Amino acid sequence: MSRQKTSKPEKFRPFLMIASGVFLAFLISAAALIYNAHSLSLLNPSGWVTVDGIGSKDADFITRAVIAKIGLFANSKDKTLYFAARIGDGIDYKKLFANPSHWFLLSNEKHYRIKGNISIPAAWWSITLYDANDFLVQNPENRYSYTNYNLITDADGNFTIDVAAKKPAEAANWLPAPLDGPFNLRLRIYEPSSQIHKNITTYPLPRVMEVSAP
Amino acid sequence: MKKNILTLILSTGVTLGLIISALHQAPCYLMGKSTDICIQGAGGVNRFYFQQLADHTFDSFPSPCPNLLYSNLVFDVGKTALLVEFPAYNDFWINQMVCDNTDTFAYVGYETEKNHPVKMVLFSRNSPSFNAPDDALRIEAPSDTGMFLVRYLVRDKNDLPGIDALRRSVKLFELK
Repeated sequence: MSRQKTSKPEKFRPFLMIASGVFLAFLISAAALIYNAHSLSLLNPSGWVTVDGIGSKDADFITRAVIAKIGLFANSKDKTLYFAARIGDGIDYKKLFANPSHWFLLSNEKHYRIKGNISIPAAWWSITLYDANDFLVQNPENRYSYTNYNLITDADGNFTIDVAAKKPAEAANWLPAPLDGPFNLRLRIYEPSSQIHKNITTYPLPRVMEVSAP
Repeated sequence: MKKNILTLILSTGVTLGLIISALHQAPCYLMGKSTDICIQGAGGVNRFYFQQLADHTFDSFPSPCPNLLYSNLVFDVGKTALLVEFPAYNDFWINQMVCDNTDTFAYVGYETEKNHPVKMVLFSRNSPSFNAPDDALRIEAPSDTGMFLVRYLVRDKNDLPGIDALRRSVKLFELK
């Protein structure tokens, strides 16, 4: 009785198939994550992006996992609207899998400016700066955020916030960026009026822009 | 050939199943870490854990709001309903109630109650029968366990001692 000898490539084929299957599964998951990020992102032209379904029990499991990672126990959108500043054309897909909040990182080597008016129809609102791990940043002024009630404004309620690692000479409101790495900016609007949460993509929010490299 | 395709499909399916399962479990896993911190800080369930106002030293959970003073409580109403009495606060405050799968099931706060004290009874379908004050809001939790996240707006750091005293004056009773 002759016994057929299995060739080496033949022997490894099941392992190759398993590895391919695992790779395929990760590819499908990546595609689902990208689709999810695209389809649920609501971009306001003022430079802020939010995700539909934050704080909602009807959110899909991918959104729930992402929100839990960035901001566990987020309120529903009738109580609080959460935005992240987004400068640039789109999502950086290379950063998608590192940390959801890395999608919107800004550079500490640049100078950003936020211009707007404090009269957003809501109970109150704030703009807070976080490091790449979503924690507050140590700074000489212990300044972590600005709100509608502590900004320096002109007589009409117009304000400018300078976001930079070093205080610009002319800054009335300076939000210190970290010296050692990228960061992100979050806008929270508490108890927003229906005119905002029904027009998230069009309501004129404070405008965030890049001023220049130093 | 058939065997190879079957192996490919099976390994893809199993891996996808594991990824989906991990994503499903992520919120509960992260909530578990928060509840552990809260229970340790409070010394048990059905007690408030009073967090400091967040600054750069705060690392208990990501994206803390530095303008809100938090009191958190892990509830367990499987064996006793809870009566909670919040004093009046003439500014923004909110109690977000979250069940064990991280879903929010109720809110009370300034928006609904304005500057009035609030009495509320929290219970679940497994809570033993109880007598509650007539003027208390009755709120049924979808699970025996979960969390309160009570937030008070701090407009000025000079107001902090007063707001801290106010949040510590919240009364809790187990309705056994």
